[in-house]
Amino acid sequence: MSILINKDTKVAVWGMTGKYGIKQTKNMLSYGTKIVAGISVSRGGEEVNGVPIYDMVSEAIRHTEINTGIIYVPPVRAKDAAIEAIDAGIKVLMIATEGMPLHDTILIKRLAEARGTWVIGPNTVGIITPGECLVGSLASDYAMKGRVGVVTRGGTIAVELTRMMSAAGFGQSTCVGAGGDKVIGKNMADYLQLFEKDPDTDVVVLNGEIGGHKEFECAEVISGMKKKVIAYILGRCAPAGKRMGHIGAIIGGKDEGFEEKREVLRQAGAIVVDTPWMILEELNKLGLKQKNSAAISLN
Amino acid sequence: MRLYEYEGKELFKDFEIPVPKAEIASTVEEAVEAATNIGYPVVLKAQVQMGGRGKAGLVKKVENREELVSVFKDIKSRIKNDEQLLLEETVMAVDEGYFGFTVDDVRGVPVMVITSKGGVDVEKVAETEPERIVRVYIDPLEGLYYHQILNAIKKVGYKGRVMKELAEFGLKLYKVFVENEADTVEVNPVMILDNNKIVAGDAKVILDDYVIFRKKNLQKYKEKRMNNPENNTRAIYVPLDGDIGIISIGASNTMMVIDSIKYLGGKPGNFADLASGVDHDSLYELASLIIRESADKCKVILINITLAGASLKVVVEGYLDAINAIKPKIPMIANIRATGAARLEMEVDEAIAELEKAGVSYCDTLEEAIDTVIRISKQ
Repeated sequence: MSILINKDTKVAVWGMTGKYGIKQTKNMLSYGTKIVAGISVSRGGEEVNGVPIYDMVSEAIRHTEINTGIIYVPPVRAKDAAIEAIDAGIKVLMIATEGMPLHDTILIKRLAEARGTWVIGPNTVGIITPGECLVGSLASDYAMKGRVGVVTRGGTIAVELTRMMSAAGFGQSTCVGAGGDKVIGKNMADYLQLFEKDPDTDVVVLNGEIGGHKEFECAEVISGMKKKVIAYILGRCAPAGKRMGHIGAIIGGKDEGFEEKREVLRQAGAIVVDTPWMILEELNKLGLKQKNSAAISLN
Repeated sequence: MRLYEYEGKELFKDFEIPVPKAEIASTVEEAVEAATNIGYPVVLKAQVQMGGRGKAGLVKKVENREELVSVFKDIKSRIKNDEQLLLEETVMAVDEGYFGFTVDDVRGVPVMVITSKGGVDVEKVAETEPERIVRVYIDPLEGLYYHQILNAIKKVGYKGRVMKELAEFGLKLYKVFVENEADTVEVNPVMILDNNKIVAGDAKVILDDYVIFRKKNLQKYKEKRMNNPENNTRAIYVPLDGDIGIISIGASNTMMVIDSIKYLGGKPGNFADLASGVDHDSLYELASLIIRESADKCKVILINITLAGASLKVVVEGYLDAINAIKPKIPMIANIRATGAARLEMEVDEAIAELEKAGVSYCDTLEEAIDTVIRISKQ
């Protein structure tokens, strides 16, 4: 078990014929992800990385089963691709696109909720269930099967936490980057709820940031959870009113700051840590260390 | 991108929202001329992007030319060189309210906020007089209807003829928000005149940086900001007051590194990230910017590379070209973590060798790299 993706995941990739999409697809295929179709209008009938290309997803699903989609389409067209995927009944849709117009995401989120599509991102590094399936580019060399669920707001922090955890002997059930934008399909709190129900997850590592109120929603969920949550919040150095990279990472109101979020999470029962190395110490205290850990290199 | 008040009001005018008669001035001469055109008394407002301008003495009414000259000079001396002053006619309001549209980041929908108490912090109204504030969440598929605005206006306590004027004002403001696909459009105070007409007393407009490419009417605001390194189009650069320069991309990872440096007793000199895609020119610009800005204020530069999707080769080449072009005089320390597709074109060992050739010292782990830069910064 795991959340959202596993060995039965069958993926269609929008933007697979682009420079970036080709590389990511190649990496996912070598990890063992079942990529069954590429969707690129006017390229139908071709093959890329050994995967057949279709003009439209509605055509692809007549030939093969698809339950998951990936969008590697530039911002100007990503909305159309996402809506096409949602309309086709794709169950899990990852939108990697960086620089999505805010109001496009608002529309995508609304449509996805109406049709029951679980949208990861936009601006996400993706999701990995170690040893089973990689959707996106989340640390294929670092991930190690285990019992810790990981959900982050940023992408590179997901890679980093996965690397550090595996190297220290703490494997993961599923790792997912929820997305760094102000509005995203599913919030971190939604993943916490999935991990709480997942029989193969014992503990959850949550990463949040300054800016916005999504961490407050997480705190509400955590206060009702049986499983332990280790929370690591970024933005200790963030000056008010400055955007720290992510479009949503800006301290607007006074409750959106670093200490405020940590305090709310602490009150909800989360173990709040100061550095990623302290996550490892906490996991160790919870007795999650595995013996089969030596294979992961530090780089 | 946040617009200045005068820019926001320009945008409002395009949508037929009434604003006070106004002119912008950079020099005393321009201000004197503007005030003559508008007619005394005029209100001087510093065009700075902060709340509480009134309390800080950056908004002042002047009655005549002498007063104008002295107040103008006083305000000008307290703001940055490139910041301007807005001169406005005096508007006599009988009542003040607040109208705002923004996006709720948890629900992921637009929200309209109305209060019948303007000119103050809205969050404070929510705490002290919750009956005078109403939030209406807007279904993006439906939009906002006139009667929904009317309902909200009634709920916060408005009565009589002004209701209709306020509802129409609200609809126009919603149009500014939706048609420009904005992040936030806010008016505080909404000025109600004795004839029930409405005037926008202020304008806080935050545009979505990612939508400007398809909005011709907004491009001029972006072009104006090109000269400031903090508004660089390719790199996001946030200066901090420390002495360790940080070359790094990936917002969350970079934050993790600067947070860790600070927690462990060091002082980070900047935050940085790319504004959009990872390509050679953007990386070159980012690294050049940080090396230049670090030259005087930093003792060491940390090059932090964590990659999963973007190509390690492209990143290392972008940084190296900047390093070789500028030849920084302070030491540089690097650590690299790269996985999956990042390594398709270059392995980590090759990247280390290339960096070392350019005079960068390599640390085997991130912890060691952080310890090293903190140690150097304290020497």
